[in-house]
Amino acid sequence: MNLIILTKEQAENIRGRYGRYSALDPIELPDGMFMLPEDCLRDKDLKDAYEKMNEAVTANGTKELTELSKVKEVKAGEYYIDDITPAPEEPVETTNNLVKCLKDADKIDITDSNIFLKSSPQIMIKR
Amino acid sequence: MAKVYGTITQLGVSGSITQKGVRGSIVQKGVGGNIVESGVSGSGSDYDADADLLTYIEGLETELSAGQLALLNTFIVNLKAGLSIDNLSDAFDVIYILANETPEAALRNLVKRLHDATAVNSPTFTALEGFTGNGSSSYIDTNYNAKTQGINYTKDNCSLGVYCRTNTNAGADIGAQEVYPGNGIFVAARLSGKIYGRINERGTNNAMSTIADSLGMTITTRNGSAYNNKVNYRNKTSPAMSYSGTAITDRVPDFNMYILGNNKSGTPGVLTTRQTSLAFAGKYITTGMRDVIVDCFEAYMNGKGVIT
Repeated sequence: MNLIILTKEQAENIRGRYGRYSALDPIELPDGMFMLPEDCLRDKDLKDAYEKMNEAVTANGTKELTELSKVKEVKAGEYYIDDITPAPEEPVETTNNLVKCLKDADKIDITDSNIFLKSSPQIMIKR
Repeated sequence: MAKVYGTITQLGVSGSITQKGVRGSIVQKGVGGNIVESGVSGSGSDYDADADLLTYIEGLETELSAGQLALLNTFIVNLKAGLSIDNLSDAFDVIYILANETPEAALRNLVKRLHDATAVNSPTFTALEGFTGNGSSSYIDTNYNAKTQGINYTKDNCSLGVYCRTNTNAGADIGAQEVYPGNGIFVAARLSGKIYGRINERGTNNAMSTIADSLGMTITTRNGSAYNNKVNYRNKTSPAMSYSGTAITDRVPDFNMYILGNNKSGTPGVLTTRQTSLAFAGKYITTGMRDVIVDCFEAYMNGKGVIT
């Protein structure tokens, strides 16, 4: 899934209701930027926001959001969704599991509940 | 026009006529005004267009087909009969038939002309199947706050239900939660291999049922204030439960319920990638009521249901 990247100012400027039954609510990323799914650019009910979304795409580009379980190595500056982490008994403590990699590193999945990085395992991923 | 039986003959009518959800023969002679027909399906059996259906479709920008209206009408009529209620609002506050013909109809509250939902960040709509989340940003805001707007849903007598067409093991399906570990409403059809149900109680309280998949109807319902006065249902069964936390109910969280995730004090979280066909909130659901709801909705799904 590709993401539209927005600054905080762009996010606040675009947030709100559109059409009869749609809304935009940019989600904060670990680095303080915000995102919307690229699908929003094809949503007819969001046509009044197309211009603002396209401005953000022109200014900031798009990024791919990859499931962490589907990659063998993580790359610095890339966004991932940590779909491996199981929920604890209190699942509301979990976030939306968006992470950003700070350094390149190989990744080994030892179990379903733990991600191990081959090199520099400390602070590789910022939530 | 709440009830239409068989043949309608209109003679010498001048003015506006609106006919919705009509099945049967219509003969119009010498009509001198504007006639709007929606959901008229020609000759057929007598058709009792339910009052709740007519309220629901009033003002739709995109009209529904005759076949879809018939399915909805059957669902409503059979649900009311099975639950022995006169109006959907006697048992429910909100019902969203997300497996619908249009996104507009899917996001409408079937119960009353309040609390129509909003699709946020473009969850994927598939006609007659439902809305699918992306697990990271898209969800549905019900615009329904059970604390301030709940009528049938009350602190110690309430229910939440969702129908999922796809099987995943992550995310929540409906919820509203105070800052953790404050009071929460939370149902996950499958999360870490379990159904999670929490209703109007501390975030550490859950009714958990080990479950093989997330398919079909999941309901969590409460009748009483104790931690174990709540029960999880899957389709027409009551799976075994374990409980975390023993606190009694405290208060209903003061946030809109989100579908395809949880409203974490105004921020979406625990988002799911499941495809959801139905969501509802209302009063306590007995096992008998559960079976009626499951049967009526599976019939409504008209072959696209997933209960085996």
